[in-house]
Formats: sequence, C-alpha cells, structure tokens
Amino acid sequence: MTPPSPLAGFEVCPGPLQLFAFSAATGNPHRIHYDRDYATAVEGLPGLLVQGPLLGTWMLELLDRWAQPSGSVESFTYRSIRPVTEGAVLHVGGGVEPSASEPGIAVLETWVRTSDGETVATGRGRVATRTESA
Amino acid sequence: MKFAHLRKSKEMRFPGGVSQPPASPPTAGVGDQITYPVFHVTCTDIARFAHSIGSRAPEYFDAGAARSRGHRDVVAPLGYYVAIRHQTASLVALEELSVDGMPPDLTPATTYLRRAAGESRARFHDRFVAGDRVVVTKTLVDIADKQGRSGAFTAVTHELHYDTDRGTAVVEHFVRILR
Repeated sequence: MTPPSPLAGFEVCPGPLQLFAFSAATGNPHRIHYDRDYATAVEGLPGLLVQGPLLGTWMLELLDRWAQPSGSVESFTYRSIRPVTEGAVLHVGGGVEPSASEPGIAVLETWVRTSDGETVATGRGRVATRTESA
Repeated sequence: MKFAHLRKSKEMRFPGGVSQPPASPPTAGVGDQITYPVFHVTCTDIARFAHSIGSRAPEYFDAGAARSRGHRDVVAPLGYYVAIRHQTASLVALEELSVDGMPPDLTPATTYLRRAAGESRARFHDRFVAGDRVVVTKTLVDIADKQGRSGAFTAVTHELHYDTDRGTAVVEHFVRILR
C-alpha cells in the first residue's frame, strides 16, 4: 500500500498563555484549560489540558494551506486520542492519500504527535481541488 | 437505558436579535433543540481567534489581503466555528456555570465527574467573514453509554447548524464525553 504523500507540517508548543488565549477567543469557560489548581486537584490532570478544538484547528489550518489558492476544504473530522497538557512540543502533520476515487477530490489525513512520536489527535478531510474562492 | 427517565424531546426556538440567550433545560433529552441569539462576526473577534492559534495569515487580519484572495472581507480560519459554538452557549450568568466552568448547554442529567471534547465532524459550505450574522441551532441527537480504554463514559452528540444570511455555512456533529 502506498503511503500518503507528506504535507509540510509545523511545530507548536502550547503554554498556559496560549491555552488561556484560546479559551478567551472561543469563549470557553472550562476550567481545565486555564485554572491549574482546579485541573490538578479536582480533575487529577497533570497540568492544564490543551483544548481538543485547538488541535483540530491546527490540523484544519494545515488542510486549508494545502488547499489554497484554488481548492477548498469540504469536510473535516477530528478526534483527540489522548490528553495532552501544557508545554508539550507538538508536531502537526499529515499526508495526501495517493488515490482519490472521485475526480477533483483529495483526501488528506492529519495528525498531531508529541516529540516522542506519540499521536495525540488525528483528522481526516476532503478537499475540492478545483473550486472558486469563497 | 440510563437516560430512560429523561423527558421526551421538545423544541425551544428563539428569534434572532434578543440580548439574552435561552436557558438550557435542566435535563436534556434526544431531540431537544436550541436556536441561539444572532452571533455577530467581527474583524476583531476573527483577529483574536487567529492570534490565539498563533497564525499571522494576512487574510485573517486585513480586508484588502482577504479580498485579494477572493473573500468578501476579513475571513475567519476554518476552525472559527468552534469560537461561535462556545460563545453562543456560554453567554449565561456566572451562577449558571457548573463547578467546572461549563454552561448547562443541552447536557443530559447524569452522574459524571469530568467532561471533555470528543470527535467533531464538520462540513463546510461557506467561509465566515467579518460582518456575518450567524444563527446557531443545536440539537441533541444521541446519548450513548460506551466503554473505552479509560473506562466507561457517556457520549453526547450534538448537531449544529451555523447559518448566515447567505445560507448554511457549517454543519457540525460534535461529541461531548462525560465520565
């Protein structure tokens, strides 16, 4: 089976400032993302939890950059595989599946991995490769 | 069935433009629906979201750059629907928030200690741009008890429609995990 063609990914390291900024920008009051005492003492987490939608948004950015300028993302599904906490060095990457069954459609797989190579989130998107811009 | 005692489905509709969002029912069941007050997309809100994800893409900050790429105005990152989802649901009085900070928001009455975001499936029909008026309609479509690697949990699935004056921009199926 032919492996997906790799996408040019990027590295991120979400610290407490970014977790707070994302919670503020999304209006998400869930305390596990910005209240360390609550996250550790009440919910038993090792630290502030990185938001799943932040991981999803990074993977979507990867798809959107690949699709531009003539294509567009039609759909995207993502899920967190395991919790990831503040300060983790993460690599956002993915690949294009080699054979699309529909003309004009590309299917891309994305992932977020730790520096140890552990996958913490995955995604899968459909991109229309020849469309008008929105 | 764990949630058999919950009430039958009902519908709550609210017209756009009201200043107060609707209160979620104290216990939510499959079929319950909320239409939130109109959410106004602004270039400031888009820029705040773009900064929070660490992006410096010019079309997220500058109308000219966005138009040169074929957009109507400053365009939002594709993941911006999450900001609309949370902001519409959490526009409630502080005393309505749970101890974990979360709003009631069509959550079924069950015993749980933690909640987390699960899978999200989104279909994109249009991009959000500054000036858009967005109406979000959220429906509780499934409640399922499951077994995972970390033990038992309940998966609550919401279907959300994000509609602008041009039509439906995004349809999302979002799963919230309760353990």
